[in-house]
Amino acid sequence: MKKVEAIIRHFKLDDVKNALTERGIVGMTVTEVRGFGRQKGHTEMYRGTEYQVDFVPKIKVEVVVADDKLRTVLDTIVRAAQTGQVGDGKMFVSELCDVVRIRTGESGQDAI
Amino acid sequence: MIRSNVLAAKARLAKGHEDFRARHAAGCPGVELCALTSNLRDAVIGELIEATLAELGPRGSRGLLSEIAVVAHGGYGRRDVAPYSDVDLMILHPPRAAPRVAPLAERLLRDVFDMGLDLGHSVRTVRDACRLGCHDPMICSSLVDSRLLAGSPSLFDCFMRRFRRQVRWRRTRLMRAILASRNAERLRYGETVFLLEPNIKRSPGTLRDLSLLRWIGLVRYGLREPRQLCERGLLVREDLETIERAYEFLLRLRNDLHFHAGQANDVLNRSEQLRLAQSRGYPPGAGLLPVEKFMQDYFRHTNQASHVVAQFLAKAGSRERLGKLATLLFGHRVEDDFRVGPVGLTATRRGLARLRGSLTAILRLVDLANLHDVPIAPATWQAIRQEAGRLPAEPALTPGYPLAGASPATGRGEHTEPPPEACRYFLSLLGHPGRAGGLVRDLHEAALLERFIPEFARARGLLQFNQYHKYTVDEHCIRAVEFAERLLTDAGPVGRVYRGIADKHVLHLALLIHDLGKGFLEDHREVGLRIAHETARRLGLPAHEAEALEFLVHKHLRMNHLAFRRDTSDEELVVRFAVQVGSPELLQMLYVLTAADLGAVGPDVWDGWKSEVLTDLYHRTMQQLAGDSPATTVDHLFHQRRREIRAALGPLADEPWFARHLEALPGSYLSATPPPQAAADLRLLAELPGGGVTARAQYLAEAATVQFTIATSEDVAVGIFHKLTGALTSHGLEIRSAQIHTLADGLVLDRFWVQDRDFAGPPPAERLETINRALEASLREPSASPAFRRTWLSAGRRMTVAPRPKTNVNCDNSTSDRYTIIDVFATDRTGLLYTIARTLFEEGLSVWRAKIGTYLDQVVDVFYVTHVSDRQNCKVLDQARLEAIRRRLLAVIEALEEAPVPETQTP
Repeated sequence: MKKVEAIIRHFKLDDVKNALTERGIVGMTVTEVRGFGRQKGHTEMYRGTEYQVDFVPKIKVEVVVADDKLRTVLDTIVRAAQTGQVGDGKMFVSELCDVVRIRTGESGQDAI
Repeated sequence: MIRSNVLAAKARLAKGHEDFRARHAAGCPGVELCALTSNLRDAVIGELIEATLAELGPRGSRGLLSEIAVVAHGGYGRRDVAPYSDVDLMILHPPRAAPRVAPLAERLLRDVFDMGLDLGHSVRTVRDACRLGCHDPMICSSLVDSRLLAGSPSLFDCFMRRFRRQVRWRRTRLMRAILASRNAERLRYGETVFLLEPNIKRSPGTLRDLSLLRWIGLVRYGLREPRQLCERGLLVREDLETIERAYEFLLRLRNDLHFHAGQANDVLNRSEQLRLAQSRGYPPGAGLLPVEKFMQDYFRHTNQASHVVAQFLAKAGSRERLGKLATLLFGHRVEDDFRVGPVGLTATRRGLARLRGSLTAILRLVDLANLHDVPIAPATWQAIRQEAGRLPAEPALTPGYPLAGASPATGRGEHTEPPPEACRYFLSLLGHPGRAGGLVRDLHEAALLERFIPEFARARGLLQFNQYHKYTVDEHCIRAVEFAERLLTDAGPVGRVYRGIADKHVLHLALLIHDLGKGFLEDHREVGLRIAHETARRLGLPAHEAEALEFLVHKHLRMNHLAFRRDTSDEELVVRFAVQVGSPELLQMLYVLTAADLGAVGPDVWDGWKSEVLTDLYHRTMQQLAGDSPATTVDHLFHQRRREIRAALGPLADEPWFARHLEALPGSYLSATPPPQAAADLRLLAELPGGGVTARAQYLAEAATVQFTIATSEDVAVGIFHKLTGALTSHGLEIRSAQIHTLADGLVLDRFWVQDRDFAGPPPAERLETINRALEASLREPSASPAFRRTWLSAGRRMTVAPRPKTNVNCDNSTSDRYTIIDVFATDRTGLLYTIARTLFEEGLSVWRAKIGTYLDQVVDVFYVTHVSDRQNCKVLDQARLEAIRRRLLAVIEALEEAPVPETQTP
């Protein structure tokens, strides 16, 4: 099992959620986060006015998937969250030891 | 080993349980079923006591029972026993009987437990019981409802007399302790009645509050039963009936929850709400789910109960006679009939007489309380509440919404209009942040708010059956107003913008009604629009305020949707939004409204993250509407800018002229100009000969535009801006964007970004030189109106024209202290900017700042203007004059559009 943490633009959440649901991924956790990557400390110029941007508001989507579905999930998120501009975000994939459903106590694949 | 008699008792309880379940299903009232349950337990426990005593032999026997008392207390003492309620028992004994009581107690308590009842127990002497009761609010409140189950009546009476007496001695402290402990519980279970998943025992307005009435009744007045309080005139008869109805409703509801869960469950969660609404046969109705109707009933009961209890507590807590005296001694008269004193705003006897039957007088009182920032004294408000129902001319209960295609039956929904005076006070209340939200809630609870906004009657306790909202519609709307009021001291961007809003009553009114369209089949924004229209008419708002109100209510989700679901770095989207909003003033209100709407959804919904995302859209839009956003004029940013310009100037920066002008550079200029450019501008201005004009051109390859910078001083000519635009336009240049700045010493710096359709790529130097000379000449020499060419509207470009948005012109006097801001929205057309500039000039207006933006075919132009009055430049405050200017601008722009556009003529 793998855990995917995707940091995406906030207005792409609906697109990502719908795309994942269409591919049968029905569970996800969403958090409002702030952060920066390469855009660190940059100053955005727009129409002549400057904005000092420190931490950019983003959305973090966490999805847990079986190994064989990982590729699909990554591709789906990339397609749904891409604008092509700097700041589209990143995904972090990690190995997951176990999952337990609290209501029933089931664990492993069954609990996803 | 469980003895046979215990097993028999258990079986008897189980049989009773099934019997009660059947009765409940057959519709047995809650109070009755609880009494039956309680009686069965009494009988079973009584037999158990007899049996235990018999088994204990001669040492126990009947002799002991005549010495002690077995007492039921808490809920069991009150007899409000639900199927799975617990049992609270106390064995009272005289000190000398202690050794003989112990084995009985041990046996009895074990047997009760073995029967399957949840047991709370204690063994105390009368003295211990009283001591504990007087020091612990929890024990005290439980012992208030003591009831003798078996044993000595005289011992029990002795205990009750002593307990009452001791409690009354300590009543002030005890009341405070009981209320504090209840308050802590309320906070844990939600501080409002209007929770979407309430705990029917502990949430506000539920069983605990009804018990609270008994506890305080006993502690304060020595009267435990609400009926007794009523007989003594401490509780109004209607109020007694209200709480009895609520009590019955809640007890039956709790029986239902327990039976269905098969255990003690007091939480009315969503699935239970759905089940109950269905099993009770609530019919679906226009736009309302059965569950929403059921919950509306629930909220009605608990809200009314909560209010009765709150009133009673306020009365019990105040030392009324003392309060009256203090008001006389220390209070001051605020108006003939009202005084502000230590207990709040009170009405004199004459004042009370005036309040009777007069909505206007009541609103005057409420408005005064808000202006003086004091609560209304409980006694005075109580009097008003009693009057409220008797006020003449009740508005019809079912308001005539949703109106479009409404059934003819709604024709009777002819509401009596509130008197205009009362409306004025109501608007004044909404216009002054302070206590307005809380007072509006009071008005709502007294059913007075619906005199002004009849839809509030329908929204009372209206559930929003989704996972998102935490409060009912009416509570949500009132909370939104309170949220806005709290922004008065908010240090963030929303607070800054809120404080700058002039017409706060429009904003607050919009918040108060923004969701009232809910609960119909139609989209609530559309219904809301009609409600806003009707509300504006009813309250007599002037046309421009009515328009703003309708816009805010109709579009209250617009900014939210854009900010959180769309890419706001897309300039076109921002421009479209700006066009829709139309004025900086309205944008400010919509921004605060969006924040307050979110903040009133539930705790922690409005957070720093959302604030940042929403504020970003606000800035971007304000940039379009006003050229710069008040909230971005952050000092440290400018400070840094000046430092960078100083660095770019080098040694020149220390010269007095440069130092002075650098300090005086306005914020709009600083934020719009990159430092190297600003340094170049200052040099240009420094070299400017007296009364001179200098124009410079520079080609910007990246944007394929030419940037013209014109430095001059304001005394060189009148109507500088319109002359410059004329010069550029007559050379066939298309002005894409412009900024004009007025600096210290009357120096003027104008910058235009233009596209030269005659040349692809950089225009030759001599062309730029010609235009520079023409610009300078236009200011030095009076000239006739320039001749236009129409070469740049090529056919290809015209293809992109979508359905043309309407031309719109808005004037705003509230955003800036010194200038009237005029926003023009139009589709791009030949000579547009020149025509506007000339019109402003002809109207005698000076343009101090301007921001011209062209986006595809949409033009958003912003002008900061003044006119001369009493030899001073000032805002155009005369509404009629402003309206005339607006109309004239509209007319000249429309005339341009109608002019036939010639086909492309290649020279």
